[in-house]
Amino acid sequence: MTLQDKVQRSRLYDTAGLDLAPKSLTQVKKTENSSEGLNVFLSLAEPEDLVPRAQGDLTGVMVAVKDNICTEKLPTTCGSLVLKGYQSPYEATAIRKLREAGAVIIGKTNLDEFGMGSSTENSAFGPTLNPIDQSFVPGGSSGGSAAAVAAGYTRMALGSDTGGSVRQPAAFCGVVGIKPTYGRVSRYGLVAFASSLDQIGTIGATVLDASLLLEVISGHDIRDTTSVERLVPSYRDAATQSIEGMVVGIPSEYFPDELDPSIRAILDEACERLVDAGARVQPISLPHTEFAIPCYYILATAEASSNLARYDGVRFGTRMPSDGLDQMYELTRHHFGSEVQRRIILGTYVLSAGYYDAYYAKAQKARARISQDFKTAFQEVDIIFTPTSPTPAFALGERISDPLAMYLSDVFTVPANLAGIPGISVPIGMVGGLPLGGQFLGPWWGESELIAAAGALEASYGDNT
Amino acid sequence: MNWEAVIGVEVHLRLKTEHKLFCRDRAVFGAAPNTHICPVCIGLPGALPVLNAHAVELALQTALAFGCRINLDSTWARKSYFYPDLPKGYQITQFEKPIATDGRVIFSSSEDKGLVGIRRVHIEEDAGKLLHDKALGASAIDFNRAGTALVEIVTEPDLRTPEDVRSFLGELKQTVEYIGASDCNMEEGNLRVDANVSVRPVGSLELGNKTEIKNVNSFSGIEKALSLEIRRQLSLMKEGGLVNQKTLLWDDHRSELREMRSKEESNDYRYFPEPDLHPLVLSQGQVTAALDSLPELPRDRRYRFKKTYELKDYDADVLTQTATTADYFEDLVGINVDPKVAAKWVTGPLQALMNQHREDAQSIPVRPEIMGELIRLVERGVVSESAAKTVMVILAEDGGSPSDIIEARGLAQERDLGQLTDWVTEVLAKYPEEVSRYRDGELKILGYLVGQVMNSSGGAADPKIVRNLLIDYLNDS
Amino acid sequence: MSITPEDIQRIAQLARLHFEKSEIERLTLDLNTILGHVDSLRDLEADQGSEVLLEQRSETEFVNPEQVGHPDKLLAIPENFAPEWLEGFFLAPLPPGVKPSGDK
Repeated sequence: MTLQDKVQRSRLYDTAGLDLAPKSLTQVKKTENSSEGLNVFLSLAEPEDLVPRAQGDLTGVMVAVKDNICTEKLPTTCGSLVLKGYQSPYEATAIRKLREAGAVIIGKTNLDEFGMGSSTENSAFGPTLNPIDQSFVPGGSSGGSAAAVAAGYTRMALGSDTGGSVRQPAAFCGVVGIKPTYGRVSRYGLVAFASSLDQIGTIGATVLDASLLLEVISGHDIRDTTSVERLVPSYRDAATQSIEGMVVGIPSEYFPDELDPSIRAILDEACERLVDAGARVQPISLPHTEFAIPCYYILATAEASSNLARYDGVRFGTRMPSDGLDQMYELTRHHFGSEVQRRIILGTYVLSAGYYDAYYAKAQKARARISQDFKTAFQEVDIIFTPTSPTPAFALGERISDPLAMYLSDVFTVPANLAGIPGISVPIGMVGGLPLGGQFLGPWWGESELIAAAGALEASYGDNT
Repeated sequence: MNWEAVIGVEVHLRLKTEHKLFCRDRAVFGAAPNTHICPVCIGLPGALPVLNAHAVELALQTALAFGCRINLDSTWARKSYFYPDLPKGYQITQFEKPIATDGRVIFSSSEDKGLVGIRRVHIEEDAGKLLHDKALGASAIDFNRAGTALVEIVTEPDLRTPEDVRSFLGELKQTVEYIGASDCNMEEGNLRVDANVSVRPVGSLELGNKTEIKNVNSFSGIEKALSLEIRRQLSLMKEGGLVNQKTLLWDDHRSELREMRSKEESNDYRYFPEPDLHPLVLSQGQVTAALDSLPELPRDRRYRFKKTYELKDYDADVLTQTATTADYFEDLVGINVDPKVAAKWVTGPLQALMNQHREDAQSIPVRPEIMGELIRLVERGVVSESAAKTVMVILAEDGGSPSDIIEARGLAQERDLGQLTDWVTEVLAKYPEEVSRYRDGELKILGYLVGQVMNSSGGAADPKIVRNLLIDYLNDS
Repeated sequence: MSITPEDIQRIAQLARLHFEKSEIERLTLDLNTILGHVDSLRDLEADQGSEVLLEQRSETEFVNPEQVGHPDKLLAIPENFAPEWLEGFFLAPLPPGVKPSGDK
């Protein structure tokens, strides 16, 4: 199928969507409840909720939504026992935009608890399995959303990306994932993990799906001070734009010697295809890349330790009976999983008296350097191409007992969150039967360029995806 | 050896904004519990703060009124701790770079003038309210107050006596009321004061260990609490003991200070910059505009009243107690009422009327133009002062014009000599004993007789003429 | 810098988290491993350039709050999501040092 065919198929949503939705829901329920079940959904809609209440770009299109985004009808658990059964009394701006575009929410997808993890194994409700090979992880933290698309349950899903949580699972599952520029999409209603890094991202079966969804949810929101007032271009049209003359930077730091030869071969092929499509590749350097992981794990955990203080059992959510206030706090917060507790401890530590300068203040400096690296690079090149992850999906249980190894797998995705620049992951091949993702990073507000490059690559592979 | 007390004060004011600091809930006092809450101010998952710029304006004006230096770039910070009235588990406040620093307040002290340095002024959100008399063995929490805008003013430890603290707070409260930044009502919780106090030998430049006094809800309370604590510290130090740093809670019912049970050894608030908000950036133009929009401040207005209108200190103080009263007075002067006469009427009868109606000078129905008319009628002798007060009461309740009321109610002062003579003759006939007493030398009894004539006339007689008539008649035989 | 079990205990108290002794040991190990990695930031040269990213320094707009079409009333009454509720109030256990009702 050519990209044109896919575009055509997308346009059929308007008429076909209405019929397909309820049938799809029944099918999804059946599959998930069988031995083929992947534990993708934490909650599913009722058939009567699948009727679109408005007409727009996504009339009748079913969208899966990560369970850390507040919806009015379905619960928002964030994959945590602390919010088990929690019904948000308001909905996220992104969800409102979806509904106003005529979309319907098929269900809330599984995730690493509060977005903390890279495999969806940190969910309190069990891991999600990778649809391509069920003994492997789908990636995280938006593993459920990526699996929903890869399994064919929906064409589009919303996720969130703080350190790679949309791009990496998209890569692991062989679908497309976009993290927008920080401030592109409103965070109002996205349950905060790390406020200066979080963004709602989109996952799609094709570049066009992910781009169209992004276009719908983008835009300034008065309820989110960090969202930016800036025109939303036609991202869907960008998917078929020519990349003739585009200069693509290849950063040496993202292609270490340890990179598996078969992976390197696939990446090289992708570069050739870009050149065939009219682009030019150029080596560049992003010298402060080595500080990205330490910097991220200081800033993200610091902000997270603060953002998760509100889960105290007082106003909403789980509360444990107790003999006194402090005991109630501790018993209630004991419901956090071990990864979340680990990060809260780390974050509290780096902010505590005497350690702020050594860790937090230092990390802020590192962040400024990393951002400067990109600024400098984008004076020479239009976009940057890298692997999304050092490896394809790993096996279930393989890294769960080694937090540091788990953290290090974020090395290629984390810098974009630190700098606030947009990134997209697109499938570029298979390694050992598992999908491999290639990542494009763009300058601030350069989503269109990323989408064009990803679209060109996707087209060049034809229907291999 | 002589000792002195060293006192610094922390004042929290609730800003008079319509909405809360970071969301659009209305900031109301006295509403049913938890009826003015939203996802933002009760810290629901996914909610985000959005700055109410009006609060910034009021805080800016307050800081400028205290002569502070404004930081054009100030930052927001998260202050973390766990408490049931703190929804997010952190308070959004200003830490490293507050909106203003280095100000000063001049106040009238027992020894003429006092000066207090203002160390910093910053903006922060308030917490909810914990109540312990609603449910047995539990805290009841009302979040209506959570998220309302506060300004915190921290002074240098420049105060030396409890009386000075009280005077300073009075000046501060008055200034803020003049600006309209806060209602400054301690009973309504719009103004909270904490004090830090230590003692040291006079002449020493070192600071002794200080104790913190909290939970005071009146100016007299703070004065009493400080006096008590200073006495305690002095006797301790004089015996060669040491003051331990601690927090004391004032119990107003028992007039005593109680040590607060230390919750945590050290409160590690883990301040860091608030990532959900932009730094607060002001332009020089905005600061200048705020400065220009400041009204004349109490101290300056008092001084001007004394000089320009040649008023006594007491009158100037009373007239400038509130900006609205001072405005009213100046409106009267503006329509050519003599300042001293205006002062008399405003501080006397008008104030009484305002008290009775629980209105201030801005809302009292008797407006300056009408009041001016009435005063002129009194000056011309058309109506007596006491009758004029009656007219004022009627004006406040029913409105209308003074002349109409005087005519309708027959309150015009009677000056017809014939009529007056009749009344006088009547009274003289009725009270022969008092007449004899006067003629025997008891001159003071004249007042009683004047009073009786006034009664007979229903208050309408011109008392001056009555008095002279009586004297003539009494001396005449 | 290395972190001790006492540090973990103290931090856990600040964060209102409770751990068993074995968990504290595990955490100490994990955190030291992570901090060891994170210490590489020390190689970063001190100084030059401001730490915080301030993209544009645009002045805070003094807008009339009425113009700002802001938030959301709650779509559900608080009673529906409050863990404990009594006659209009959220209920919570008494803080330490506060005597039960009747004696303030």
